[in-house]
Amino acid sequence: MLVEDDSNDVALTQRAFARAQFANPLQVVTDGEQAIAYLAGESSYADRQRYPLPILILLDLKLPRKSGFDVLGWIRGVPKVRRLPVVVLTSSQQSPDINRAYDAGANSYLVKPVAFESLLALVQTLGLYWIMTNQGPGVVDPGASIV
Amino acid sequence: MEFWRSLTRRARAGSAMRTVLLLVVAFILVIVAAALSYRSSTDVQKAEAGVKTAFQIRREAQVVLILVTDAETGQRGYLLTGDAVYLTPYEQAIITLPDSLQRLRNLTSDSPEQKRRVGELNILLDQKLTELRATVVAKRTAGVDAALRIVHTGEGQALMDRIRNVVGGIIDVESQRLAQGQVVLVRATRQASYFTIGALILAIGVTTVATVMMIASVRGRERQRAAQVEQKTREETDRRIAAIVENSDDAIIGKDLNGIITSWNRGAERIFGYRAEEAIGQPITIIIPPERLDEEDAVLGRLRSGERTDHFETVRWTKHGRPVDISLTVSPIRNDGTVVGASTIARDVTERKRAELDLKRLNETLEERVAERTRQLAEINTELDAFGYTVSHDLRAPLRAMDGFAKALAEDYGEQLGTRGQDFARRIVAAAERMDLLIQDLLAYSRLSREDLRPQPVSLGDVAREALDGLAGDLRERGATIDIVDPLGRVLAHRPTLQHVVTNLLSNAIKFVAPDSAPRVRIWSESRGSTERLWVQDNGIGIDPRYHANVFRVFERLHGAEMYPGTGIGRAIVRRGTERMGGRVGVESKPGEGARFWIELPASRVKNGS
Repeated sequence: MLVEDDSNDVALTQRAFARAQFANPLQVVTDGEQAIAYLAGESSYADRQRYPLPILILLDLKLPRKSGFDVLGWIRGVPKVRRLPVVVLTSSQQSPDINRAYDAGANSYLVKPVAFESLLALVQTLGLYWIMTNQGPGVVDPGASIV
Repeated sequence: MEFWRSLTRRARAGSAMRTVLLLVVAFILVIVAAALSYRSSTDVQKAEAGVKTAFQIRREAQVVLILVTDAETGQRGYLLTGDAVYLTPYEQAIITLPDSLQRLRNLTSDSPEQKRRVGELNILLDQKLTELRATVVAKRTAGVDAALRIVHTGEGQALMDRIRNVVGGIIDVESQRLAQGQVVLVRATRQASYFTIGALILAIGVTTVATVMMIASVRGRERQRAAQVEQKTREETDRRIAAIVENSDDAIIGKDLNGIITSWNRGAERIFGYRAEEAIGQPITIIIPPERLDEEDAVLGRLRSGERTDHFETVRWTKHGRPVDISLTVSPIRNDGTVVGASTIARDVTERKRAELDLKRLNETLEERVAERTRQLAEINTELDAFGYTVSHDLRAPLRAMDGFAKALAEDYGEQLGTRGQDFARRIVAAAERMDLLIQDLLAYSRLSREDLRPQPVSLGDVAREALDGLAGDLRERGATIDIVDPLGRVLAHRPTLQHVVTNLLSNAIKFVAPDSAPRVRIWSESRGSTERLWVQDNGIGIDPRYHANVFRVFERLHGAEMYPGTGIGRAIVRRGTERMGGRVGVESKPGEGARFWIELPASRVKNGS
């Protein structure tokens, strides 16, 4: 699942995912509130068939309504989703942001590269590591979808 | 003082008078002495004349006697022999005797007694000559017997005896006179010389005294003149001091021990508003506020014991009741050691007081203002942080879009775009990449300014090698040769910042080389006492000395971006980073001869840990 408000970034990330040729679908939400609603399975996201729980969350920090930190804090506080790996993918290279993200429970912190090739490489590495290599936590919801 | 002066003046006038008097006395004495010696010499002359006359009378009288005797002798010879030759003395006597008698008469004219004797002698001589003639005639006419008869009468003999007696009387008197005259002469001569010598001695003595007195008087007058000059100078000085006192900006006030004002200068008039004629004679308390009257008592008390009051700051009143801040200095005025009053110098310090008060207020509000300023600065810092966040986060998002979509365009629609379209897409991508670099460097630079850099011992060798590792791709691409002159020193620095600085230094060193030539970089360090200097020498295009001051500025690019790509922030990071760690940077270079950049940091004496 990608939590990203910038439609350009969304499009480019989707393109990178497409180019990386992952089998898993990529769910996209565009702000913090939506992310929480999705993960909580609230209202429009109640249908877990259509909106399954992700196996990896790519989280931007600067989001409308609720920030990435809010979302991260919420995730780590809700038993059903708290083990989900969260990779922060943001533009900020500020060290306070980085430390804060780890403190809030981020599993990784990545800076969005400007060059598309770099983004592609990053997405490929991500998939290789988090989806193919990494041994994920126990699935809380048996009907969960990947990403 | 005045008394003494008049006394000496009078004494001096007296001495002049005495001098004149003495000179007059000396003059009179000389005249008297002259008169006396004149008289004495007249006496001497007179005595001399008397003596001379006596001698002449005596000689004439003897001559007369000899003549008569000779005449008688001749007569006797003639009578005896009848020879006429014997008559010569007789005839001679007849001719000469009247002349001698006449001379005697003249010489004895002033002595009646002698005159009488001369008259008697005259008669006796006539009679004798007559007797002689009678015998001679008798011999010649009547023969010798007739003549002898006359002789035998004895008349001639008697006459002769009487003549002898008279002449003897004359001679006796004259001898007596001669003896007396000689005594007088000796006495008069001695007297005359005594008078002359005495008068001379007196005159010399008096003149000497007068001269001495005159010299003393002249000296005295000179001294007096010198004293007058001195007095004049003193008066001039007094006048000048008076002028200074009068024209002083400070109030200069004299008062006696009872606090009564005795003098009041123009400064006092200006500060306190009272004119001199209003203030003099008034108590000093006219300018003292009632609540400060005890101050004056204290000042007067100290004054009586001869103590000064220095720069005492207080408040006084003007004539119109306006308070004035003043600084008081009160010094005692002494007369022969006794304190008789005081001179007060009062300086108007209102302006200074106001300035002091302002300063105090400023100081009091300083902390407040510092706090305010700190708050503002913190605010600005927060804003800067927010700006940095915005730059790093938001500005880069559009770049990603530019880059990504330009590439997507080229990939997906390359054929439709054609060569020109693909070139445009490439340019968009290149611009985005450049912009990204710029933003990253700017962020790094602004972070350098704000981050707290805690220095720790760092090995320059480690830092340089790590930096070269980071630049490995570039080095390979450019075929650069790097020569590290080990060992490199150790410095006190913030490791990540130093890493950043050295990386930029090395990246620049390999960047600015002439086309077609491979970069050669030499790295060494130099110990300079308390600091360590890291040198990085390249074989690049060099930098003209007139640009040396500019090379460390932000965005200062000396070369076109086409030829030597870069953001122009690298060397600014070198300087800012080094300076933030308490170091310095510099460059030595000439165009075409490469450049030698150096950074200097505090040396570390610690051998382990970094």
